[in-house]
Amino acid sequence: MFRRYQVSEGIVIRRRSLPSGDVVATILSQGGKWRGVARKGTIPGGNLGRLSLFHDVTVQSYRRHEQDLAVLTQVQLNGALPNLSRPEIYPLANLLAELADALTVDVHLGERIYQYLASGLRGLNRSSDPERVAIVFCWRLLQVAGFAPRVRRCLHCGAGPPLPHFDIVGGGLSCDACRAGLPIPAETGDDLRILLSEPVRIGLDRPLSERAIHLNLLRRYCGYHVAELRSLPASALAPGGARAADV
Amino acid sequence: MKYPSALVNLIRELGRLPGIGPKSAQRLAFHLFNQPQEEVLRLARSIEEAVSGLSRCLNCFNVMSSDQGVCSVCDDTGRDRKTLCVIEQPADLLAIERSGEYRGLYHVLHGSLSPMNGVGPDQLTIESLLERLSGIGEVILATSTTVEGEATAMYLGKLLAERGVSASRIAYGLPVGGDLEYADEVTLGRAISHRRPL
Repeated sequence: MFRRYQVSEGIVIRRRSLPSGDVVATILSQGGKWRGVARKGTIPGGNLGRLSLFHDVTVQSYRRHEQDLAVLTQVQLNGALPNLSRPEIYPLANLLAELADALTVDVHLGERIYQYLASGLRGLNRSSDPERVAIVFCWRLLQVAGFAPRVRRCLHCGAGPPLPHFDIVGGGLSCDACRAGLPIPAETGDDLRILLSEPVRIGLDRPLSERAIHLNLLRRYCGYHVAELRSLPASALAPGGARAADV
Repeated sequence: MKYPSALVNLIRELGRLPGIGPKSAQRLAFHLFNQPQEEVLRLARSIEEAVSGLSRCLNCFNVMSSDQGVCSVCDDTGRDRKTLCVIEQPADLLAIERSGEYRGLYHVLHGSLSPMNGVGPDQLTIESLLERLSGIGEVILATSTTVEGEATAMYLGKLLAERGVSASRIAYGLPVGGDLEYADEVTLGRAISHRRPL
C-alpha cells in the first residue's frame, strides 16, 4: 500500500548539490535504490547536514504520489565513517559506491547488496590495507548482483585448474587448451577462486597477488558487463596505490 | 493548441537552467512575454555581456572581466601575498570576503574530487595551485565540509606537505547563534574533537 510518509535506512551513494541549495541524494536501502531531494540541504546547521556521501542514515521521506521524487524531511545519522575522506581510501570508497550504484540500475536486488556495500565501507574505514578490502568487496558485489565470473572450471570445456586465462567477454576463467581471453598469473586465478567461493573473511585475510592485475581485471570486466567505472582509475590517486596496469 | 516556436524555444532554454523545471520555465517565459520589451532586452543584453565579457583569472581562476589582466583580488596590492586560501567555487570567495576576516589571496579549484563523477586532480586547478606556491607561507584549505571537500583538502594537504608548505584547514564547529541540541551529530562531534583552549 502506498504511504505518503516513509522511514527507511540506507547509505548515501551519490549526492548532488543543486545551485538552488537543494541536494539530490541517491540512497541504497535494503529494499533497493531510490532518490530523494533534501530541500536546502547544503545550508549548514539544518538536520539535513547528516546527508553526506557514504553516511548510513535513517531518512523520513514524503511523496504526494507514488511516482514523485521523494522529499527528504528528516535525517538521522546511524554511523559516519570519517576515515573514508583519507586520500588513500576515498577513491576506493567511491569505487564501491559507484559499483553498487551501477549494479542497481532499474532492478531490485534485495538486501544483500546493501549489506555488502555497508560492510565494504566499514572495512575501508578501519582496514590498514583498504585496497585489498575494495578488491574483495568489488568481486563480492558483482557476485551478489549475479555478475560474478565463473572461476571453478574452464568456461568453455569444463576442465579444472590450472585456468591461466581470463575471458572478459565470456565471463570466467579458461584453460590452456581453450586459451580464451587474457593470460593471468596462476596466483591471480587462485585469488579469484577464493574471493568468489570462500567466506569474505577468508578473502580479506588473503594477501592478494598483483593488485594492479586485479584492478585491471575489475576495470575491464565491469566495463564490459556492468558499466565503465569512472572511479576505478582514480584508485591510483592513493599514494602507493596500485595502478591498473595491463595484464 | 501549439505554442509559437519562439515561445517553445524560450521555454526549452529556460528549462535547461539549474533548478528550473518545465512548469517554472513556462511561467518565466510568460512573465518575460508580459514585461515591457526594453526590460526583457536589457536582460538579454546582460546575459550576452556576461557570456562574452567574463573569463577566469589566470592566477587564481576567480571570475573576472575579460578586459582585465588578473582579477581584482590578485590586483589588490594591499593584500597579504603570503597567505593563500583554497576554495571550491568563486561564490565561496565572496562569502569569505563578506566575513571581513581574511586579507590574503585565493585559489579557486572549480570543484572538488569526486572519482565516481569523473572529477580527479586533473579536472581541478591543482597543478596551477602547486605552481604558485613560491613565496607562500601558509595555504588555508577552505573546501566544503562535505566528504568530497574533506577528501580534496586532505589530498591537497598531502601534496603541500611534500613541498614543505604549511597548510591549515578551516575550523569545524557550530554556527554562531545556534543551539547545541539542534546541531547534527557530525558537526557536534567535530566541534568537540577540534575544541580550542581558552
